[in-house]
Amino acid sequence: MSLLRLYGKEMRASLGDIIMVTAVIVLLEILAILNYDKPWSAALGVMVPMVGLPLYFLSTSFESIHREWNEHTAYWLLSLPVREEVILGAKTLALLSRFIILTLPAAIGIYLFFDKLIPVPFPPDFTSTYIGLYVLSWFLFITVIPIVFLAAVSRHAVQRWGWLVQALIFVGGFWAFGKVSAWLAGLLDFLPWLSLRVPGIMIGGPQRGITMASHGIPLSMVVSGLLVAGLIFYLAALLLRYRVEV
Amino acid sequence: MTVVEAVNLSKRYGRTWALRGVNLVIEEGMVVGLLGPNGSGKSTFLRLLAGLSHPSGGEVKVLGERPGLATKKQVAFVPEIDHLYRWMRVRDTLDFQAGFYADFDPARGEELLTFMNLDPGARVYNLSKGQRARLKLMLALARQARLVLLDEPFSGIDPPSRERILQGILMAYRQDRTVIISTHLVGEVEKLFDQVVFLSQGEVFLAGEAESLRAERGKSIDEIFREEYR
Repeated sequence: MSLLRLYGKEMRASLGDIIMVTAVIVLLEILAILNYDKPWSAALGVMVPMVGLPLYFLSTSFESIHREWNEHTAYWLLSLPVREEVILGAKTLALLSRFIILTLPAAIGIYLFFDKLIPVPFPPDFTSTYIGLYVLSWFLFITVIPIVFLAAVSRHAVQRWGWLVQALIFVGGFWAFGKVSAWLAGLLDFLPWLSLRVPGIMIGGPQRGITMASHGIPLSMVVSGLLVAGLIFYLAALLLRYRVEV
Repeated sequence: MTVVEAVNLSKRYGRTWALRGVNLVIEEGMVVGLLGPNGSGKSTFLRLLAGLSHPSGGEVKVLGERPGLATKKQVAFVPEIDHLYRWMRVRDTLDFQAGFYADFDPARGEELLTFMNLDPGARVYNLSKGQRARLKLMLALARQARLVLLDEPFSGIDPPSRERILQGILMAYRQDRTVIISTHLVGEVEKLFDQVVFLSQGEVFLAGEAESLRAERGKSIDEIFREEYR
């Protein structure tokens, strides 16, 4: 119940932001679709969301921790009788919800944009592959959040050089994530591979259209990535409990 | 029953000692005045009790345990700083608080809402400093917490709000509840104190029963305070 209450608080706190950013994305996609034949339309409807949204989510993930200190609400939050894992868990769920809400119009808009731009019909499995890749982006985001949390919480665990510590933990966190998950994936090598269809999109020239290529990703990599993300999440919670002060 | 026990408690920030070798025992049912000028370590001591900070040395126990999840269920902390979510309405803050504490008394919350003269529909960011101070106190006093920690509840507050806060604290008095009030404005609140602790540069230099100190020195606590920190 505490998790749901904190999740509700996080969602309500970001409601205005969600409405505003969703409106901007919808507007960009409509403009891009209506002007699909203009050279700038792909930049507006595809590149801006695909580059801008990851940066936005990175920034909001850091902000979800730092805002509690900047607005002094950490005094209230950390004096509540809830485990630190619950506090970070609620923030993770809220960030993931925000991710899904904001990337959904972008994903639909990009799909419709290509549908308009490419005169030939999509291959039969393109839509299901597109949805699959979109859902895969949720899992990628879930693995990034704990690294951001660990870095952001570390900043508040030291009395000086907070920004530097945060930057080092963030970069080091990705490095360690790669190393440990690769090692763990080796141990889980017995797991099967997942087949993955990857679309290739040509928007100009005589071969204009979408081709589908078969690839695969080892399930061990997915499982080890999630396990290491869980471990980093737990480390962030421990740091919040034993080292962070307000 | 001992509610707070600090043994050689120290807290250091960088090279500065905020608290140094504090030994203190506070029994149940007391209203304790934690007195001292700014920077004397009052807020640090309260944050340690609330579990928001960790000792650099020594030990502190609240209701027999180290501050943590278990003690947070029984401690109500009101910091000096504005710690409320500014986008919430007054009603939301009450509901939010109520959701986390088994000892939250909704009827008491309603009673305090009326007494503190707060509009339940008002946004926190629209409240005056005095109203926010009353709201913060209300959140703590609507609970049946065993230990209430009030950090400078009267600092920068207008006289009418100060009076309400004082009345609120009086209303909340119970024999099984301990209240620790840190303040450097002693005059108006000294009548509440059963026990006083004087802090200076992180060290306790005078502590005892308020009544005994008054009798011993022939002065009010406020006068002793002014004399000691002159």
